[in-house]
Amino acid sequence: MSCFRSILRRLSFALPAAVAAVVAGWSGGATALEDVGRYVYVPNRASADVAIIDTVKDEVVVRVPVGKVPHQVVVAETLAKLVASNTEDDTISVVNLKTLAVEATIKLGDTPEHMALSPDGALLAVGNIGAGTVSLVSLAEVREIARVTGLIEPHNLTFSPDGTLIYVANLGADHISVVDVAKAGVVNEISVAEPTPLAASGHDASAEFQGIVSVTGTADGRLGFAAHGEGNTLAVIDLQRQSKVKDIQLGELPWRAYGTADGRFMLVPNNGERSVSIISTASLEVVATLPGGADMTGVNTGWFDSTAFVISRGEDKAVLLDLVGMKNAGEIALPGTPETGVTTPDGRKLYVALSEAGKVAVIDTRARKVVKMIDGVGEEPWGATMVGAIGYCH
Amino acid sequence: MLVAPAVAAGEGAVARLLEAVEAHGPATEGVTAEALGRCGTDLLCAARRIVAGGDGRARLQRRDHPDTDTIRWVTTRASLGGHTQASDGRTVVALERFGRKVEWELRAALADLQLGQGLVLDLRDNRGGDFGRMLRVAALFTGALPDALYLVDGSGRRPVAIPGNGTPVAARALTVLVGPETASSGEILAALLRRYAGAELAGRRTVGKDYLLRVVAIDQNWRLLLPAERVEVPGETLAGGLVPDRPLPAGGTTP
Repeated sequence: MSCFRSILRRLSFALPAAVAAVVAGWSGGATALEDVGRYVYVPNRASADVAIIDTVKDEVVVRVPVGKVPHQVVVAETLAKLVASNTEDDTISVVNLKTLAVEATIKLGDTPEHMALSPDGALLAVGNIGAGTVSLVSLAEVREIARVTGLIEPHNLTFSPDGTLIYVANLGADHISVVDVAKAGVVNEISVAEPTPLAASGHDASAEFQGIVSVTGTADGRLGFAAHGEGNTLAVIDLQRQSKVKDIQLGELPWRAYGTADGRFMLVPNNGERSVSIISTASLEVVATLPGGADMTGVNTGWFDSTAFVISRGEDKAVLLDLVGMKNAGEIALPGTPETGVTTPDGRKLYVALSEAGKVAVIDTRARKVVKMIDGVGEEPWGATMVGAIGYCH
Repeated sequence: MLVAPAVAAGEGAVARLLEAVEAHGPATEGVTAEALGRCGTDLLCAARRIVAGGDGRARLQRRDHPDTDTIRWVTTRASLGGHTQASDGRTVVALERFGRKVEWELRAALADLQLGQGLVLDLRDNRGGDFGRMLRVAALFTGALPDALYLVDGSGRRPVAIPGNGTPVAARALTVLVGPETASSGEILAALLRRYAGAELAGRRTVGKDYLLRVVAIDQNWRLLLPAERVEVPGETLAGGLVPDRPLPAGGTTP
């Protein structure tokens, strides 16, 4: 009996990797991902797996099954673990990158969606957007150690540099919540904008309200930038004092701030008017507002931060912004609906997930053109992540 | 005036609610700090007491969480209900709501249409919505205007500008259709267009809801809609309903 159990246990670990390997036609061994920084990780919403792409060959090397409708992937390099947030299952899948087996499936709250890894890589914060809670998960112990209540549609999460605090962007409200990790509770709320004014009869307060999508921090963790969708403003937050220091006027319906790798600028797509505001992090002023595209879902920069690639989901293209001359620099047509992307840490290549095509486009950031389409990624690829790169999600 | 009840240190949420009531709640003067204090740190309890103790205009509304695709703005309900051609050649555009893309939708639609014979903006099914978006729609016809309207509350009367957002639409004649379903931002827009864009109002008297609501998030599931400032458009009377310049012909759907 014990022998039978042992076989079962081995099978339960080995099977997912074997299945995944078959799916991708991959014949690699159990230590295929020794250098986890070499790969791009792509969650596929419809096929419920994560494609792992080798950035040297620009090919899919394996697809690892996870839960239903994975939204985001994070990689804890030191622990060699990959985590996918499975929004349909209300779970996260923890994958051991050395065996490519799912090590654990952890039940969390309603619709776990966005995740953030602590600076030491040991603690994972997961926003359960449907429940208004944030789960704190120990990746060493592979279990949920606390669940923080009192959030309002928690969206992106940002750790303080020392890992003691988490700044939670409340998509359903006008404020940022500050979570103390040790206390596992909300210890402060930072007002970003006045309550939204409505003049409505029988109005449904839930209708399309867009509060705060993200608190995008500067590298030193001193300032945070939080766009308020309904207020058309970008709040500059002193994260140490936990107070707003300035409001910057943006265009119509700003999405969120994306920082350049060198920290000089924040770029905010204004989806209501198809423009992009560029803000200097030194002067805290808008230095340019340039034409963008329809339904912009992300901004990546590349080639020494000389170019910004603004992903326009509504027009199947990337709009190029020259960050040296502060002007538009053309656009790249993409053969499929682009979702989000990731720039390699060296800034040379940009990988963009194309959901309808089931492919990933590889863009040479210096040449500013698509140099390869990666097939066999999976169904409905939704984003891309790399270790050491600036990560973001929808 | 409310006095903040004693709350536990660090309870920013309670402070946030009280701040909103203080700033925007002239209709909640019947609510006592003592009553709120009995709720301790239970925000939903406090919100319920505000609704019960106010003048009847504050209300709690349960929020149905939009799916994530809607949040990400992948899907958004249209604001325009379509357009038709009236028998006299004028173009009729139905503006039913102030959705997230309303300004963009309307600007694009008007650019595509032949407005030489005039434009009829149909607000008869427009029950209002986001105040800021409404102002940007008004700007499409009026251009930027300082002190275009006023917000009045216990602290006084402050002017509000219509923001500039490009060249105003050039229509030879503008008619706005209103009726008993036209409310709030819908009727404020009609008043602004009559006052500043030379629009003629046709139809029936509007609802007459002349105040703003401030939306305060109570928790994940509940929003407090707090009556706040009253809206005044110079030369127009919103309270009791906006009176059109002329009725629609009997049985007519367009002027």
